[in-house]
Amino acid sequence: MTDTARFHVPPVEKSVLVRCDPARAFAAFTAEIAQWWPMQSHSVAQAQTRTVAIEPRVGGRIYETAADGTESDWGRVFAWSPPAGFSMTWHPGRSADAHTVVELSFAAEGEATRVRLVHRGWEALGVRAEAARESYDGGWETVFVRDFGKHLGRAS
Amino acid sequence: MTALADPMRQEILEKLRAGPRAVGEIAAGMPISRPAVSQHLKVLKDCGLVAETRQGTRHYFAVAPEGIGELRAYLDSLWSDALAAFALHVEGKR
Repeated sequence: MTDTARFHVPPVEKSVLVRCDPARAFAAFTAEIAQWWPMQSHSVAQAQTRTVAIEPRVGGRIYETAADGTESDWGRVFAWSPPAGFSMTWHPGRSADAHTVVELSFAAEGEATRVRLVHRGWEALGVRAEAARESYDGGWETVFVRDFGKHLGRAS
Repeated sequence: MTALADPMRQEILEKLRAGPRAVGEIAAGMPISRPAVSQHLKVLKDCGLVAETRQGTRHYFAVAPEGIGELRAYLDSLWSDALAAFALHVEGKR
């Protein structure tokens, strides 16, 4: 029972090996994100989403644009070191106050590149509720909570 | 299912991070009624983010780590999808 008081959740860590050099992998991940991101399913506006972009600099936005021109922020770049990696805050459909963090790194592995993703900071999902209340944006509901509900296989 | 899509529920989860609480303790200092807090707790419980235990006649609520774990598992699968799509793109371009 005492453990339930703790809220620590380990980071999600993923990696993929791609057959190209780090510079190419970095460019493909960032400049070309609209060409591969599964935005119909993984976005705030879902089927209405037309494009996704990462602004290539510290302070740059990660955002989607819907068919009607509505932009929705997913996060902000806070470290940018091509081709080694970049880091961004992550809060699709949610106030920036309760963000998690996503870090990407690109390392040569022989002729290929190991792309590693670490998504951490889950504890923030339960904090700063006061600030989140000010500017809450219900989009997170669509992406995360509804699909999470599907994932759990429960209806409500 | 809108478990985390409500700032009050986020605030309740935040209060529960400190340890199990009874409804009255959770409601204290919140701008909503105790029945409203109970309703939010029910939603959080239904989707597995909060667990309820009983001690005598008192009910206590606590964060359910497995619920948060499932949330994490959901995003884990999201990133798998995204990275697979990325690999296909970058290798298809060659």
